[in-house]
Amino acid sequence: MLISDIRLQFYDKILNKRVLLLVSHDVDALCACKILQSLFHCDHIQYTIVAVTGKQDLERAYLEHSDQLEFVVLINCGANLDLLDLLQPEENVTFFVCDSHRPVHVHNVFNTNQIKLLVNSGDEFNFPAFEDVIHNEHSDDDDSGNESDEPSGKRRRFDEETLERKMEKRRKRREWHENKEKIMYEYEEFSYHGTAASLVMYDLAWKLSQDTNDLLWWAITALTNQLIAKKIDREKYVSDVTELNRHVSRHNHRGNEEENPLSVNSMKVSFVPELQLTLYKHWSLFESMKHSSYTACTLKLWTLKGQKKLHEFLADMGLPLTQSKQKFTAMDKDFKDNVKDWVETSAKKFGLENISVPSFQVQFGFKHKFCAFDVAFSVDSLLESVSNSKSAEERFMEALDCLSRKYISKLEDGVELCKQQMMGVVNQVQTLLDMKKVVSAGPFLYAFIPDGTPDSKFFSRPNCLMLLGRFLLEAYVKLYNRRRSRNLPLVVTAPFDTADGTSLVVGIPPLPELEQASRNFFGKAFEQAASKTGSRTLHDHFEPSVVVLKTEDRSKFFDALISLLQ
Amino acid sequence: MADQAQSDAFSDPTSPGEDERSGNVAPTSSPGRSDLPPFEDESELHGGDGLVEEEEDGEELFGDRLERDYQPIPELDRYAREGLDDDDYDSMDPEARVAAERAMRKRDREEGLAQGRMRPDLLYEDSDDEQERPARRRKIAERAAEGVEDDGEMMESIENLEDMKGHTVREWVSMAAPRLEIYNRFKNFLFNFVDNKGHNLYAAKIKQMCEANKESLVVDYNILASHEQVLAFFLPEAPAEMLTIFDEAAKEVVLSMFPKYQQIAKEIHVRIAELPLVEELRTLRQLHLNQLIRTSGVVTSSTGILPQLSMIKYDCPKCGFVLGPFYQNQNQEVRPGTCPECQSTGPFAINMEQTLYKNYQRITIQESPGKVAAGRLPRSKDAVLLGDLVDSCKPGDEIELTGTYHNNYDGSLNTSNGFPVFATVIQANYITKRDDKMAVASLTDEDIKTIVSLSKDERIGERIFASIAPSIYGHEDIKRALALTLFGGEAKNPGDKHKVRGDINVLLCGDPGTAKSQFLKYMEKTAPRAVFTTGQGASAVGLTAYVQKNPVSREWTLEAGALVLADKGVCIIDEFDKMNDADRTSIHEAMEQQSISISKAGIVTSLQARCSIIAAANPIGGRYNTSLTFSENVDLTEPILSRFDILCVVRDTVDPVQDELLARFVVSSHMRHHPANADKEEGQKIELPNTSGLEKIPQEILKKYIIYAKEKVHPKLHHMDQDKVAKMYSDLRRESMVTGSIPITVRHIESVIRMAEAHARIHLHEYVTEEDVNMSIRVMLESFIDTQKYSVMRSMKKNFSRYLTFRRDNNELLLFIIKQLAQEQMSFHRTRYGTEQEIIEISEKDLADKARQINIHNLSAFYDCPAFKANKFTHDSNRKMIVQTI
Repeated sequence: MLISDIRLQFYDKILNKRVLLLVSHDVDALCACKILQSLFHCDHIQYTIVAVTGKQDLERAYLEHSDQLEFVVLINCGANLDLLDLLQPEENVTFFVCDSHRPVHVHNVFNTNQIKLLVNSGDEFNFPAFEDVIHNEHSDDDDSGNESDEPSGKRRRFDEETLERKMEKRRKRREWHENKEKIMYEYEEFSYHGTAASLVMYDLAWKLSQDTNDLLWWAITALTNQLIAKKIDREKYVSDVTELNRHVSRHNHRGNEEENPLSVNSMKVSFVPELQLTLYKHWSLFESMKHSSYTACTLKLWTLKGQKKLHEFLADMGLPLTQSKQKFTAMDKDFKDNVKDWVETSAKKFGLENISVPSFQVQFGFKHKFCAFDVAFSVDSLLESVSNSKSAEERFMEALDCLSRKYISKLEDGVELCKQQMMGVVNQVQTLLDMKKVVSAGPFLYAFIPDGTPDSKFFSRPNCLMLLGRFLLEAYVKLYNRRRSRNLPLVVTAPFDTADGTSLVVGIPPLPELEQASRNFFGKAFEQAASKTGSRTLHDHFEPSVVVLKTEDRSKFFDALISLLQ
Repeated sequence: MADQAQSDAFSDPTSPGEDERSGNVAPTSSPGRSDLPPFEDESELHGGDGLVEEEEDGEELFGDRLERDYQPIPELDRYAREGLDDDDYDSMDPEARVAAERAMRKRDREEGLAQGRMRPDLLYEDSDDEQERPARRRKIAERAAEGVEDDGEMMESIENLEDMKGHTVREWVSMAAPRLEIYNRFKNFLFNFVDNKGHNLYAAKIKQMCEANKESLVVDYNILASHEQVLAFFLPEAPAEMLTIFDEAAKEVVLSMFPKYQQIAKEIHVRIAELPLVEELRTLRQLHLNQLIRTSGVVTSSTGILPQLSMIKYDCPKCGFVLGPFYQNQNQEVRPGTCPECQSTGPFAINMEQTLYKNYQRITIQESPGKVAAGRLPRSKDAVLLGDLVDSCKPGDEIELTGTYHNNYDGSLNTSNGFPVFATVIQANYITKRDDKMAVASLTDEDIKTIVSLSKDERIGERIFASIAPSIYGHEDIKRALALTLFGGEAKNPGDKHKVRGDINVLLCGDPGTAKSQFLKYMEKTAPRAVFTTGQGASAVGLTAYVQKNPVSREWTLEAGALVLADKGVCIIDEFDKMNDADRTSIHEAMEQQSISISKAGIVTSLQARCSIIAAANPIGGRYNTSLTFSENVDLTEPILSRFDILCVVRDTVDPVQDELLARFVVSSHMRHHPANADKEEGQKIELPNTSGLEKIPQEILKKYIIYAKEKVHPKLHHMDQDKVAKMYSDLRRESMVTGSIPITVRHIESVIRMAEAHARIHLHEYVTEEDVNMSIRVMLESFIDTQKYSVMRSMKKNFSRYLTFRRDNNELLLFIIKQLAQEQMSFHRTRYGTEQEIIEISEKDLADKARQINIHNLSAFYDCPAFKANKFTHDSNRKMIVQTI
């Protein structure tokens, strides 16, 4: 059930109760969790946080912690699952689901007692009509039940009539079922994302009048991450940003006053147009351009010609090569101050019209200045850190920590990690393109990252592999520039666990869809392909387009996928 | 004359702007002007002015200014010209007149364009058409501002610009109008020049330049000359002025393409490449002063990079006012006179913060050693490198330098000479390094065609061997060895760990008077890069490298020795045996490792010495004793002997027939090469007996062939007959142990490979073939057998005969056999009868027996061959005898 008043129907209910927070493994969830935590701190609500990486994890975590708990909050997980079916909860347990995954499972939508969906009021869902998918079914079942209970004499008497009625009913039922199938298929065909969970949580905080700059910043980070991961399209991003900007100006206009004694240690969020260059403030401009998918793909930076073009671009900007190759922070002040404008003006000449994106930046005291993109990137890479010593839980906690102001150094570690990740991605893209390893299978493109490639460890993480996939697809399309390949989706496979012999498969929707609606049809396609061939796959990840596959079954799986998509 | 005086009087007060400009600008922008005597300068200026006026109007009724002003209006033109017509244009037909009118109008418009704006109107304020004038002036001004956007305008002004109105180029160029015109034309040239493929060459070049953040734009003089003759004509005459204009124009063009390039490079320099005339350093004269010249030489030293004042500001110590900025020019310092604030006359202190500097480096270039005429010392010249040219060359580089030849005042030079003379310096504009790549580039397509067609010849190998030192008779083995050295093997560097040399070292050893030194001299002339030293004249450091204290900077510097100078070339050492043992050991490293390691006076380094060494030595006691082994014959140690790939023993044997042929050859050679009959061909009839069938390659082409082969052909070893080499090596080892001659080491396997590669290279083959290996084994063996005692030589020759007979002519072999037979008979006769025999008779059967041993069965062809006859053999078929008459 969707809830209309988040405060009354959600927050007031859990006041003074113990709550289990099941948090998914992504940035949005982290931020939402952070926001909720701070609210819980204020109101002394006891809570347990458990990070869950997949469906099995979710199940396990629930079983472990569900004793005597009445309220479970799921953040960025569960909306697209049949929760009751999966978790088999007690009657008195209520699930509050705050998830950006769409489409929401119909059973979740129409369950009024146990499942409450916390969503942004502005979102559109296009739920199928209740009677189309559920109600009818019940009545139908009742009907048939009634029918069988009827006395036999009567039945005999009206034999023909009943038969006709039966036939009629059966036909109707079949029709209804067909209709349901169709509706459900249409409803579930594409997976996509809605408003970030953090924004919903921030909304709650605002309604409770407990919103602060910190909370706001987390919401911003989550939103930015959604854009980076192409979970939402630009339009949605811009509208959400405008929404947040209102809060930003509300919170920060006070900071402009000169005699504010707190300003040294306080946090200041400001709205600025930001360049779509990965971490350029913590890297050198040159490197950053090379490793940002937007510039790299538009200028084809992995080719010699592209390199020349980049040099030309820099010359056009009037930025000396030496300056552009040193750390951004060490650049001359003149350049540093103006570089954003220059990039924007020069970018138009080189077909990079969209290089600048409205965004926010935060300043902690006088010292640290971060833009939302950098934070979003580095939190993500902390979450997906590949060092062997850290378990998923530890990574989660670390990422959670780095969001708070106290652990700026952790954020900086994340920045370094992100650089490594980006370099790995760019190298991989370059190798795949140079070796012509991106192959067209007809209805889609695919690329295998062979086991033992130097950066393959990065690609065992779904987000990073998706990042690679998007980069690769964009680069491929830009490189070959064929009309056909423009509309092809991409499937990327990387080794997941070499010991088990499993690989990670992600599907990237074709570019136009990625740009606009960011709808992904691979979730269903993978499911069907797996069930058809009996491949050993694991649809564990909350993102349906991410699948773990036994490496041996790969060719089987792909054959099925090809025939399915044709 | 009165007219001239009058116009002078007019022009002086009316055009102060121009005079002031030519007075001020010229000396600052063109330093050469100031050294001319003042009166000469002035008279020239005035004379020029007068000339212009006469030429353009020829009418004294109006002042020239007025005339110019009115010209563009057609009615007025006619009016003015009517007066002119009366004088001398009556007989013109209408068409010619129209053409002339047009030309004049154009010129005058140009004139107006040039000077219209500068002129104060006080004189003509009351003229009839004063309301028209502002409009026209505006038009002129506009046109001047627009410059040559309009192509028609452009075409018009070409005719005009070369007409300098009697000024010198320098003056003309520094005037505002021509200056603007030049500026616009050059800009236009950069914008519009399109090469024959339709690319906008300079747009691409500018793009390239900007991508690399450089500030030099290289302009090909020939292209400039073909499209903008006038600019190309002015450029060498007034380089300083022209280049500043060019720089500005280029900068504008660059900024139009990259608006913010200013932030990257403050200035853009136009570099002039391919100036057609190349002057030697030796031939620079007063004539070249202040001209753009192109010269070449070797950089002998360079200073560090110093900051030179470019834009200077002074502090007035009294009032604290900052004076300036003053822009410094190359040869004199601009200083402020008084402080405008407090009228203090100084001294002023330089304001360190606000002053701008530029890079400055001085290098000395010296004539290339090859170009110095014999008996003269090489001359050197200082050159100044500014801006981004700094550090573009280092000592030892052979460079080609384009620059302005400047003179500047040097006080010490004056006092030492007692009268004013000037030190000269070249201000560099463009520098190219000349390296081996350039040598190949210098080959024309025609040359390459000749080379490739030559290489198609099947006997190219023999032809090249025969073409080595054509003025020396015989010594085929040495010629072969030297040819292989010239071409060289392929250096290898497996895994960048250690280098295996590809150069072939040769030692010639033998009796005096066997043309050893001649061979060396020939090599010096022919090899692409050769350094000639003698054992006596060279010391260890002279061969390797030495450390010297630089008199200027008083730092220890490293000076390259002969082996280092011969890097990638040939080092020739004559009188190798006369060298000290200590000195000789110093080249061990160079010969095998091809590097020279130095650790002296705080300098620890390793220099490259990738050169072949060709040495010549005399045996102990002057003559080679055949009863001793090679190592007993020469005073050289084993390590050094094993480093030579080929040892050539030259023996001076007495052979009446050979000697006679040799004598004839020498005499005819002397006759032919006498300077008086250089071009007559009568001496051609004497040919070397054993190379008669071969057409020799002219030396020039041979040199090019070598350059081409060395640069382009890199033979690879491919399916080499390993067994053959292995077998040969083990045989050689065994023999060498038994006979105790020169030691055979692993080096000799490498030698075989190197020689095989060199032989493949001679044929321009990319792969080493069987034939190459065979030839290389033959050379190896010959070299080895030659070093043996006479007693073992024969048996060894027999053992290895299957290798040795490779590629040798049947006739050559038979000749060898028959000569041996003749020799035997002669010695028999001598010992038996004690008298010399006049006629030697050898039975045909003897020869046939011997020939059968080497698988030759048919001798008839041999009896007809020219070599047979040349050795004075005759075949008497009736008596079945071969007769040799001595």
